[in-house]
Amino acid sequence: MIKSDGLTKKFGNKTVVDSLSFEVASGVVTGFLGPNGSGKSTTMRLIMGLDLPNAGGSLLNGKRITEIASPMREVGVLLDAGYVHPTRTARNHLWALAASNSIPKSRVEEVLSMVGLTEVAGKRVGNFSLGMKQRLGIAATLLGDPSIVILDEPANGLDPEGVHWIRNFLSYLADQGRTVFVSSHLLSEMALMASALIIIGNGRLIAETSVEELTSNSGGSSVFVRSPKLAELTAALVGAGAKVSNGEAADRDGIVVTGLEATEVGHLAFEKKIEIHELSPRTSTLEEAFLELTAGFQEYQTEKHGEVKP
Amino acid sequence: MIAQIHSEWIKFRTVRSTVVLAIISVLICVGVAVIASADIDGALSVSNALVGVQISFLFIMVLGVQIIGQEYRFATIRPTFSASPRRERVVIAKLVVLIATVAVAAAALIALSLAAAAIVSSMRGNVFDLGQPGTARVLIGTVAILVINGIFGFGIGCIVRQPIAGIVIVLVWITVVENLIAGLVEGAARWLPFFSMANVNAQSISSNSDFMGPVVGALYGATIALALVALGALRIRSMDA
Repeated sequence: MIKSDGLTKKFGNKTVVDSLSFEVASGVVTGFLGPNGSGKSTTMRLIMGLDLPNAGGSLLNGKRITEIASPMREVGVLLDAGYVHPTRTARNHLWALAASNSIPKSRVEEVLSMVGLTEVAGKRVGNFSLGMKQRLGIAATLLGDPSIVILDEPANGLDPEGVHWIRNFLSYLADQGRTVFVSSHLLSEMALMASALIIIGNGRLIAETSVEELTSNSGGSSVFVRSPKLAELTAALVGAGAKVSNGEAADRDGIVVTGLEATEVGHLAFEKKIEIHELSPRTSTLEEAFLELTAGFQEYQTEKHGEVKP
Repeated sequence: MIAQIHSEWIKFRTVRSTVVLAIISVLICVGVAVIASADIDGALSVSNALVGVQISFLFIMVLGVQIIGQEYRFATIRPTFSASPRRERVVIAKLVVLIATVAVAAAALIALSLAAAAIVSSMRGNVFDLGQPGTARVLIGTVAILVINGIFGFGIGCIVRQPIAGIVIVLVWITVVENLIAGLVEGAARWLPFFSMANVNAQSISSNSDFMGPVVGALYGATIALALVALGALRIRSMDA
């Protein structure tokens, strides 16, 4: 279990992480989401004691990281796959880390096998692709068979097979009762691998929720209705308390209804004797829910014509 | 602590640059020993055979900087401190590995340089005189000088946490700053770390009052080098990795 309380980090005058408090439970994969520059990586470095907080702190299984006698046996972390010496071999990279926590060399071979790097273990890491470095980083997190695993963008650089593998692997780790805390900008991947979510923006907590709760609570739960008598139907729906908006450009003969269930819309149309051609409930995706929730928290946004503004 | 030292030893010997620097420091001294013994007529002293230490120690200092500096350069310091969050233990383990490695390199440097000098001297029909006064001081002092300089480089590396900046600082300090201060401020030379150690590995002790005696000089130099390491360790502890 990870518990952060009032975590605050400033770089100069800029507050990157702002009184952030949250808990990451064991037994589930917890996704860590936030727009670019929202402070996700800094938060992970703070949890690991690599960055020193201006206020607050984090506990890993109830202990500060500096109080843990053999940290790799308690927490495995992958912050950046590039944190390797290019002239050191993969095996030696892992061996040096393992030795610092008295983890036997045989475990190095086990984790190399788990991530599929046994054949290239004797090669210098500088020649590795990003995907191979990512696997090496994941191997390093597993060296101590830890009860907490923290991964920052683990799917970066992985091919589709690798992404599929990491998704299943994280679920497997969580099923074993471990605490799995993972950030990713691939929201579709997050929707598949995480069940709990912690969402931050501008270093502040926006939501501590689940994927299911987030998507169902977002304003994106709606009903699409197509009808030859749109004006009449719209008036009836508004009269019943629903909110009605036009659909996408491709759906000009339809409207999007929020505030009423599909069955209620159908029943109302039946009562008013309004012919309808389509009635389909729409649940927002995690991406839509995320964008809705973090609107206004983006440090970098694109305007419609593609210009980037801070 | 043993596990940490083991980890640092693996790191040391599995990176090309650190091993190459240690080997170069040995080979340069051996090469200079060959040149010196081929050039000097008459009896050759141990001091003559080990004159190359004046170049070798620069590589040992760079090695000291590199041991910590390259961890920051490649950001491997983050996995290192994630695995070993008590940072001062990492610094101490690196220091132990450095001292042990430099001591072994110094022993190899002495043995090979003396052997090379003996072979060249005998080929030229010269005497290689191991019995001259001060020989023991040259031998012990050479190990001490190399180890202290390695610690000095390591201390600078810990403070600046960047290999290039660290290397520039130690080289400029030795070649420019100390000479400048010694020339401009009367009586200051005695207190400068490298001037203070001038007699540590000397065959005959200089009468120049600017230089400390061999034992005091070695202790003074070691104290400054270790103080730099302590300062660097405090800085490493108090800053983001």
